[in-house]
Amino acid sequence: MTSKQSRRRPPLLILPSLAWFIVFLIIPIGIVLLYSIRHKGAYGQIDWHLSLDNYRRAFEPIYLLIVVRSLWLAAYTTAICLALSYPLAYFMARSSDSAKKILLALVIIPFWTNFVIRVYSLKLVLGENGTINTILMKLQLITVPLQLVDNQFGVSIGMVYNYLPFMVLPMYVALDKFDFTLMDAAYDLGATKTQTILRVLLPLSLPGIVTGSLFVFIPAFGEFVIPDLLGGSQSMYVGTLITETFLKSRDGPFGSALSSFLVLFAMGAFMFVLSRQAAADETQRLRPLEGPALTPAADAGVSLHV
Amino acid sequence: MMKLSRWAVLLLVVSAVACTKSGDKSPDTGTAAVAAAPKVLNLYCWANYFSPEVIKRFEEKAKVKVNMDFFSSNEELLAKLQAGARGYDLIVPTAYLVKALKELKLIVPLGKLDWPELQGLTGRFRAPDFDPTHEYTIPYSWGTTGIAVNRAKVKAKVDSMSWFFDHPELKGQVTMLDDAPSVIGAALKYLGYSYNESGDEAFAKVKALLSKQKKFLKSYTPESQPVLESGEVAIAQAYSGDVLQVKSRKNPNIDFVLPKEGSELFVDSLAIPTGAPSPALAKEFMRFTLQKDIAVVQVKHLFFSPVVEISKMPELGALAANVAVFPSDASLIKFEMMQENPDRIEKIQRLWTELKSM
Amino acid sequence: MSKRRPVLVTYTAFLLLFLYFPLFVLSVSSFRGGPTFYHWYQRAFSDPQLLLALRNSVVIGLGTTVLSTVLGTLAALGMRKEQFWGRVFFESLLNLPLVLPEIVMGLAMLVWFVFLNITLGLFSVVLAHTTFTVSYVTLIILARLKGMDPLLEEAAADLGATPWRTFLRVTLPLLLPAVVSGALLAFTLSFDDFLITFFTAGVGSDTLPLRIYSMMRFGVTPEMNAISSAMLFLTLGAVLTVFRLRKD
Repeated sequence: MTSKQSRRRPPLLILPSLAWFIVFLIIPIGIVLLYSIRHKGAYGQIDWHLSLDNYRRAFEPIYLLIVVRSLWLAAYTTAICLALSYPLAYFMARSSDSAKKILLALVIIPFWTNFVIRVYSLKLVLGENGTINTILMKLQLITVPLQLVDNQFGVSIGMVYNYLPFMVLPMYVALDKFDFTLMDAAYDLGATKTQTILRVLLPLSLPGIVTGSLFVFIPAFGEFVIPDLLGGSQSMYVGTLITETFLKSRDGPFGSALSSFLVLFAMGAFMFVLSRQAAADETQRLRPLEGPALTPAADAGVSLHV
Repeated sequence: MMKLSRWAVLLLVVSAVACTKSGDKSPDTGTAAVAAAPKVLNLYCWANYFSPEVIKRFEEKAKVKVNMDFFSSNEELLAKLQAGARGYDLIVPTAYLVKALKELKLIVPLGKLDWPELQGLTGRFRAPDFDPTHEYTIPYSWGTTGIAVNRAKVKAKVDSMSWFFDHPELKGQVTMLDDAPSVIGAALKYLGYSYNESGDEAFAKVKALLSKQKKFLKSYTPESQPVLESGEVAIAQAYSGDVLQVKSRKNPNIDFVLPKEGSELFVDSLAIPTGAPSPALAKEFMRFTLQKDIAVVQVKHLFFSPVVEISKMPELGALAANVAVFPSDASLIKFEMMQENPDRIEKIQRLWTELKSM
Repeated sequence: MSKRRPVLVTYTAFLLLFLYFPLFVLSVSSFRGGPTFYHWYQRAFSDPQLLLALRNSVVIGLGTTVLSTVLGTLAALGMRKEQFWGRVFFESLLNLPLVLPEIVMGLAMLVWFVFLNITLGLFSVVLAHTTFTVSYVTLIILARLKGMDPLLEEAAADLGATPWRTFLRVTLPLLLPAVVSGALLAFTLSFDDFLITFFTAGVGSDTLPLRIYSMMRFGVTPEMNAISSAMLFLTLGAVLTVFRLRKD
């Protein structure tokens, strides 16, 4: 158990998933990579001579513009979801056991309705003849209906609405294990509420924030259905581009190249974030903790009961 | 642990209920039909495409079960077949796709067809351009892309696509289809070019026109019907059948108009994919659709135009006079079918990407 | 013992309202437009195709959830070992499905399945769904595991518990919220998936999203609305029932 050899050996537990990934993920990705260095045939077949043209093409300004647009969409969606989810996750984590489960279920249940139906219901509420406009007109607060869909506003609402649980769940899970007596300790030691939140709560719930942000940012970056259905399909996003490249242009190779870029970029981001987290974990592990221990209060020496 | 078992029970109950809800036994593993089980015909088509009446009559006549799976675009159909999906007996490609399907060997020849029903095809479809000898396909129905007018909002006479491009006072009240060939094709026809034009000069003009239009467009929409149903828009680009479905069932204020500049005429046909489990059954179905009474039922269901000569049949009632379903040859002079052209596809997508990036 | 947090309670209530309001508005319209208020429900539940799609979605969802939860929990537990050969590789692999566009994954899997001669059907969809949900499950459980003190487990071991027993009685209960959250997320992702399902489904294995997307040209039909609302009411009702039961 302490020999250097076994310390470096991959744990058996990951073997099932690893095997699964190799069979069902790596090989299909390999196919994609293989396609990306070919050309497309006249009717969408693969023309089997090698070329890096597709990768070169991906750098054309028009495609970069699309990437930037998608990045922006993902960024502000993540930010809004983060802001909205944190209080909710906090509340859930501090609730009683039964309340926790109820709240968890309540948060998830809307997302068992179908995606298209959810979007359509948003249209129903936000549309020109929709609920909101009807109510506002009846109350005579407005005379002309507000344009809440087929524009960026509609897209934002749709994005946040659909990605909320992806942020809430990881944050709740991370906050749930948080020892809230630490906050009481901080108050006892004279910290204000703001200070406590900023210096105690936020840093220790960081893993949840990071996971939640990844769960939202990455898929949101590839999102295109919501901008199409709620934004009037007026802008092209990375997801639209890739899907249309595969289907409409029947250009599997170019689509594969675009996807490979996407994958490489995101993987780079992951590795960066992960390595920084690993470094932080390392320093935590090697340096004795300052301040109250992070173990349950049963640990000797620190009594934090309220 | 008690909590765990409660949730487990809940889950079991929900899944049990869900499982018992569907009483029929449809094939869900795609394996070849067992000899003792009733024969099955697997259709791969657009949603809501075949009239339930038509399906029912065929099931009774041929003593088979008809299974329908859906796609929502020709490109999805092609991609799936190309990637190797098998198991479908009959597919419904639009005419322009047939050439690609043939080249990629994704559909099989029908062989010699001694069907008297083939005589019932109207002139245009006896020897259609995309498959003159019915080597691979049988035409099924056709329609046009035209102008949907919301009479509650537009009282003036509408007969031209200028209503798409030249009425900025309708800002936010006009929608176009979210389909590159349709939008670009409409622009081409409006500017006087052929629907299948691929010259750079033409495309530059189209780009200018469409960029201008985009500013007062409400949206590009994949959902033709809800937009018309709700009465939100004044003018919309739409398919003939869709407009008439809405008009007859949901919103009588909507009219369908054939643009005088011409537009697209599209034909849907039936074909048998390679590897079909029951090709003979598929052929039987194809033949069945050519019957006049079946064509009538189909027209009343989808309001797309029939390929079989039925305009004089009494069952049609008022529909026979509907110029959207039975347009005169004169009104169709400027209408063209889309041709499959791999180089052109690239240009179209490029323009579309640029348009949507503005 | 419970602190009153009126601000947070109000906030949560409003957020939940925001989530449910559009769906309720839609549900209301599912009762209108027909001769009776249950007209569309009747039609929906007597449409064998729609019911089959619903059944397929649920079956696929459950299968995916079970598989990915098991695989994901194991993987997360394995990842607790701080340093091992190939760790970075595996962790990157975990994140890959989140990044990959669905169309790429769907098409690639279809090509691969055809090559392997796997008959397309419900099973092929479960395989595909599991592949992308495992990541979510693993990452969620990891978020909880990170920094979780091994002291309790070590204490159990010291007191003579076998590794299996420790896992069952100490680790798993501590992890349960994360495992449940992961499972719920996996089911949600699978139940709602379109593009990957489109390419990997076989004849007769259409799921609810496939049906609904293919009908997009017609918008949401009243029957679809009815089925969706029925599911909403059913699940909400189940939750409230459990809530009531707990109170006793």
